[in-house]
Amino acid sequence: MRWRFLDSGDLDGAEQMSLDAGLMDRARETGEALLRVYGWSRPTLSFGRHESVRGLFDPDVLELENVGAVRRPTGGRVLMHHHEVTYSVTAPAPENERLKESYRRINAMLMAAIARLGVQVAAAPVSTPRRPGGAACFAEPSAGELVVDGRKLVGSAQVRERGALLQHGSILIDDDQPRIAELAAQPLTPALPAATLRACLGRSPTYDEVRDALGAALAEAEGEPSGLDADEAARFAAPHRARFSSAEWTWRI
Amino acid sequence: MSSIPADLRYTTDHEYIKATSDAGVFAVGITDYAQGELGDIVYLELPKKGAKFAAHATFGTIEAVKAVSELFCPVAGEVVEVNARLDGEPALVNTEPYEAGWMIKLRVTDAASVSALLDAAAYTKQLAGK
Repeated sequence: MRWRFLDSGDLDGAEQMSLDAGLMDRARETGEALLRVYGWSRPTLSFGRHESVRGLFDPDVLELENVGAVRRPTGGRVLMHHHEVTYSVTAPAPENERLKESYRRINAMLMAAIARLGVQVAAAPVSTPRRPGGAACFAEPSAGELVVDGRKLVGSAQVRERGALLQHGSILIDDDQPRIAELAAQPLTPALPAATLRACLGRSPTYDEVRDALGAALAEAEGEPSGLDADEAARFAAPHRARFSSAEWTWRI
Repeated sequence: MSSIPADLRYTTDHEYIKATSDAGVFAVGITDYAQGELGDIVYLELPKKGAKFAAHATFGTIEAVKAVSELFCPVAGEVVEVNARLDGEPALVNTEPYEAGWMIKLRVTDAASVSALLDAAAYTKQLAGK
């Protein structure tokens, strides 16, 4: 499979989710896979696709605090995106490929990237089931997620639709997750502090360092990727913008 | 080894369809193999009673701990009942996929479309090919 690599930089939540959804369309159309790296133009809460957040967060309070809000096309629970590097993989998902296998392959690439930065991570063992809305995403690692000493460093989620998959996740540089509880209108289950690159390395790596480590890990695993024109990516994102920027989607449950 | 009851029909997307006591109405869910692949199921988004679907149309989404997938309608029909228990107990899809874990009951448009689906032997063969 031919791979591409794209650094989209900092954009708002609706634009980043539109790109992730649009690039699934591109994977379906072209048969190519893409590793995208991005950041957030302001601190942003992202909610899981089926997560119930109405009454838990107040859109007006978030706006006053200059915190964005967006609902992901993927599952899982609320995340605060701020000091992190976000990755997304969009790829064709052949019917005969097992879900766990694609998750494992992508996680192996992430582990190699993080090892390049000097941090040894492990894949979390199998855990118990939880409902969306139970607690925040980084509160508890689930099977296969990347952990350091049992604490989650990379939180990931996947969606499969019509022959394409999207897996995206946050590689934490610093732990902004306690802000979730500060912004919530009701008490949340106290979260185990997340692992961060800053804590692991004793310094904060730059966005560029993390991006380059991801690019190098991709090249090692799949061969040197081609780039992707940002305008082409934006064209695929365009049909999805209305959904991800609408309050009807973000605050639907 | 996944359970594949002999009296059901199956799709290549790992849904099953099962006759009910009401002729023409079939229960739809995902197979034991599919629930095992997805892992712990935490949420289902299912249609409302009265919704109509074409064969292979998406009738809902299912969220496991770390992945969201679509649910496909095995044959054309109208939803006559939705399994409300799954709202509070989505894990029934993991523990009893063919019994309490059914998702919707469908009044099928064309009875012949059900017999055209995979039988247990054909579905077993498909899984063996993996």
